[in-house]
Amino acid sequence: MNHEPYQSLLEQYLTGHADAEDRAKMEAHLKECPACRLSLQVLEDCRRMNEEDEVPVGFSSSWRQKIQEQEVYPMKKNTPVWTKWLAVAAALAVVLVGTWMTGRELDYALDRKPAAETTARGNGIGYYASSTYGGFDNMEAPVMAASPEAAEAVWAADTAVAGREAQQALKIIRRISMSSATREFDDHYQAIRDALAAAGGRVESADIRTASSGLRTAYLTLRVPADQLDTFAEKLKDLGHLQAFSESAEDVSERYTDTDSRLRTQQAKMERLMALLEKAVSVEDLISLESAIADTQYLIDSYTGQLQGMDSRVNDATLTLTLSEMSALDTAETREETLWDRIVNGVSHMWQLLREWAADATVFLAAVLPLIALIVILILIVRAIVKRRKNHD
Amino acid sequence: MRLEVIPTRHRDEIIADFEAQALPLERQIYFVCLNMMGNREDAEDCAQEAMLKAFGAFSRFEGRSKFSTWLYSIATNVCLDALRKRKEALSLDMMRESGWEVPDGAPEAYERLEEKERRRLLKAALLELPPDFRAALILIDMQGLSYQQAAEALALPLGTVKSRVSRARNMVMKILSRQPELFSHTSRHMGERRENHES
Repeated sequence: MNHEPYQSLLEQYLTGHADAEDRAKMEAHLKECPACRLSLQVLEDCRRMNEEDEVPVGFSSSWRQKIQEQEVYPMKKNTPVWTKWLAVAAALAVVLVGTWMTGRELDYALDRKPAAETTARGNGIGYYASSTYGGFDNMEAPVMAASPEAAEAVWAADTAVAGREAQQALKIIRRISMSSATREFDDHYQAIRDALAAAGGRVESADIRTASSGLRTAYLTLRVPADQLDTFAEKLKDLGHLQAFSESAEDVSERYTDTDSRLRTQQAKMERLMALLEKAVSVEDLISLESAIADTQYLIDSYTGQLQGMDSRVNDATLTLTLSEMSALDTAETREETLWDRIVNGVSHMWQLLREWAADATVFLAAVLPLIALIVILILIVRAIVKRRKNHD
Repeated sequence: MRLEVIPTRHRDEIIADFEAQALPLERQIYFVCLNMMGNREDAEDCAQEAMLKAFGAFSRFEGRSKFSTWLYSIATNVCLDALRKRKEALSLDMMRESGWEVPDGAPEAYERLEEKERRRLLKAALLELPPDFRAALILIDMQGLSYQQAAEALALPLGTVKSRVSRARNMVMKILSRQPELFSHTSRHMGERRENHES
């Protein structure tokens, strides 16, 4: 007879927790199974085991008296479990935020910031706006404003590209460097020249070399009108397989303004010298005036040349292009990233980020360690004082 | 870390707090010790020790489990320690080694006995169990703890507790399946053990 299923029902049957169906089944089974009857009897006896037993007289008073004589220790405060997790989360948040802030500081120090960014920094007196463009700082003269927002507004107004006057006031020298590979060297080379002509640009230098393998490489320095540069560069990207691309922008506005100011000064000086020359009578005056005029003219020519050079580079951006010829068998071309490439690049990038984060975290923890040590010492001192006062009480 | 002794006004509060929780359970704690140790003297000693130990550890009780479960745990451990020291625990294996066999007798014998007699035989059968199995059976079948509470009290996995209770019940069934005349053999054997212990 299989009474395994009934053995597990015994407890419920005994305590009255079995439903009507199970109860009926059990009662029917008990009539036929001596083993289960015995089990039920034993279970019932177990539950009533100590019904007739008595606790010894004096047991209660005995242990209660003894605990009066025992040392008593302060109760441990029952802190909910969630408070401990909250403390862990808070500590983790402090470390993460501190690490992130440390990373930001290092970015500023190492000039790892994005290409173009405007910021308003306070100097305790007011706020001045600064901009960085392509890594070259252009600190304007302090524009005192009452708040960072006001300084930002000043900067935005100053740098807004609205009208030819605003555009011309900013002197930016743009440079692009590209390298491409192609199997259709001749066609693409001609296409580059055609696109350049269409953009109104010119070739500043062209150097074509042939390697021992017979493959050619063209080193081109092109001057392209600044307003055509982006369109022209996009066309070049479509020719062959782009292998490298970089862009920079140098803000020479301040230098230009300084040079222009000096030129105007010298030109004004020249006018005065010429006026004096007309009135000169003595030979000595004539000689000294001629010498001054020559020196002034030299400076005028120099400044003029500098301004023209800057204008030339501002108006006509420079694009250096390396066009390499590929053989028919060459497979080292730009190809679309496969899923595996993306995974490898992703893992490599994440690993790099992790290393940078670990370095930033180490710097942060090292920086706050003395502060933490100081806080711990203060806490211990306060606890010792409080403890001593309690003992004294 | 040892905590320092606190002033009197706090002592009274702690003592009152402990007594309020322990007093309703003292009877059950005594019975656990009685069922584990098998005699009133040892049971009283173990129960006293359990209460004092519980009071001493009261400051470290964090409330993660019920106070009753915690107190049962202390009492059970005190009894197990005492039995280990006494080295008197008899298991069925040890009984067999001494030549005693569990006969396949008709189970009706136990059921026909008087309740008082059954209780006496059950206590005797209980003492023949290994202490660890005895503790599990006492907490579940006699004190009415749930399997989860018993697992916490014994610091064992739930599955282990269930297994021990099941095996303990089987052992008790086998012992009680003997013919009534053999129960006197058990009584005689327990009497000899008590004499040896007292001497």
